[in-house]
Amino acid sequence: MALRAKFMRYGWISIGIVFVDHFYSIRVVSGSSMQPTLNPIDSRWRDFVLFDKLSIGGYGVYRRGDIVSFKSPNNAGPLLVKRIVALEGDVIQTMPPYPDKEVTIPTGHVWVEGDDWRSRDSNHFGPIPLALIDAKLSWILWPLSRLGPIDRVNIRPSQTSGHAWRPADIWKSKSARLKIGHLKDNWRPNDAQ
Amino acid sequence: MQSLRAHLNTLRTSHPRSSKLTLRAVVALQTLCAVHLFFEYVGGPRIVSGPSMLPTLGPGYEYVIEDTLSPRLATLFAPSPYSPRRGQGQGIMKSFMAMLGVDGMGMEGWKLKRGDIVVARSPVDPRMVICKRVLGLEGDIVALDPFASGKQVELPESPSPTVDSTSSSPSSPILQFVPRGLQNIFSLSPSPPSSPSSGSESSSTSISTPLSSPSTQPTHILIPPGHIWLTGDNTSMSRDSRLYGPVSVALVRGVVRARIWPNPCIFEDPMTWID
Repeated sequence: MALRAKFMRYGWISIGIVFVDHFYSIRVVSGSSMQPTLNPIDSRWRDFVLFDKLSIGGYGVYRRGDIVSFKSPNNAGPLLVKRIVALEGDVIQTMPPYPDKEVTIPTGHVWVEGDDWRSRDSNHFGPIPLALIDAKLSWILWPLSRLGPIDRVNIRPSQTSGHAWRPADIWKSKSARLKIGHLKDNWRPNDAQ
Repeated sequence: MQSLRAHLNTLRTSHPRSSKLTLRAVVALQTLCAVHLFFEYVGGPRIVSGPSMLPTLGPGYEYVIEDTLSPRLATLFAPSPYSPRRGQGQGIMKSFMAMLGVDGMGMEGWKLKRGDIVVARSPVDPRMVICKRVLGLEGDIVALDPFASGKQVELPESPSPTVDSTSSSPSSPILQFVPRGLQNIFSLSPSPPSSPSSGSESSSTSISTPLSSPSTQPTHILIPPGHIWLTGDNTSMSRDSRLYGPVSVALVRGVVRARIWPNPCIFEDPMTWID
């Protein structure tokens, strides 16, 4: 009986895994491709970030400026963390490694870029399908000095005011290369039809 | 039923003040989550429908067995640029794989094969799940149908995804979906290839021609790394890679191994080599 009680207690593990898979999880972000938003160069720690899978995904909202994590489209590496720059229908001027000057983002795809110019992003592998996107990064939890929500960078130039650790200039330079298409600012795939 | 009652008893002894209803709800939630996880990570029955796989899978609802474990294992043990030695099978892992009877080098046994029927998330609609057959793996060269390349595939029962008129050029619906950054498309038309792009980091070696001009429609596509070419068996009623280009392996959810009902069968490898 005691054995069975111990065994049955593990039912909570399945609930926990489902919660981590489909709702929220906390992960460590490594790498420098999102500097200075994540893992800034003067930080002694790697950032612990709350990954929000509820507000993105098939029924969530995709917004320009959100930082998302997604599976790499061309290899089985770890999840990549980049910023959504363009949604479908937008026209983006690309950066050097990309063969074309301008890209119109196809249906169901997004253009993702890191905040750091050395990042390996859509300028290397092109627009990524929305279905690859895993979670939205919503809060920095550690280090405590930078505890707080990762605000989406405001797109309208009048509202560009950010925290000191997240300069809005990055988004300014990115949005200068962006021509917004037919999709509204707050767009979810349900509205597409 | 006996074990459920025992479970309730154990929960009641550990949480004496909880009501019977709460305990039942907790047990139901635990069971639901466990079943969901099993379907998600190992596999299980799944209903597929639609005309795109018609000779193989009928137009009505069919119950098939989906194997979600092997794509996960293939991803888990695949060598990646971040850990290139992963998947080569060393030490304990190697002997373990030998014990399982799997080819130790790169876990070949779990990999997708040409001819597998896969269940994947649609690259054009994140809410849609598609069921198609793998026609080409990474590095393969797929010939495009010259007659289909000029127009979009029309489906009578479901309209093609709405694209704003500004975002799609009507002459080349295929080209806009091909991951251009991987520089994988080359044309067999006699036009001279363009000068290689300025990107020195790109490791791709294939020839690249400008795709903006309609005269250089690609006739063949080299499938880029990490991608596969999916088509429905019913090519006239299927929206597949011919429309949206190579599909990332990361979108693949599972492999359809067998059908339960109607006409139970195990899906065999239909591919044959032509010399």
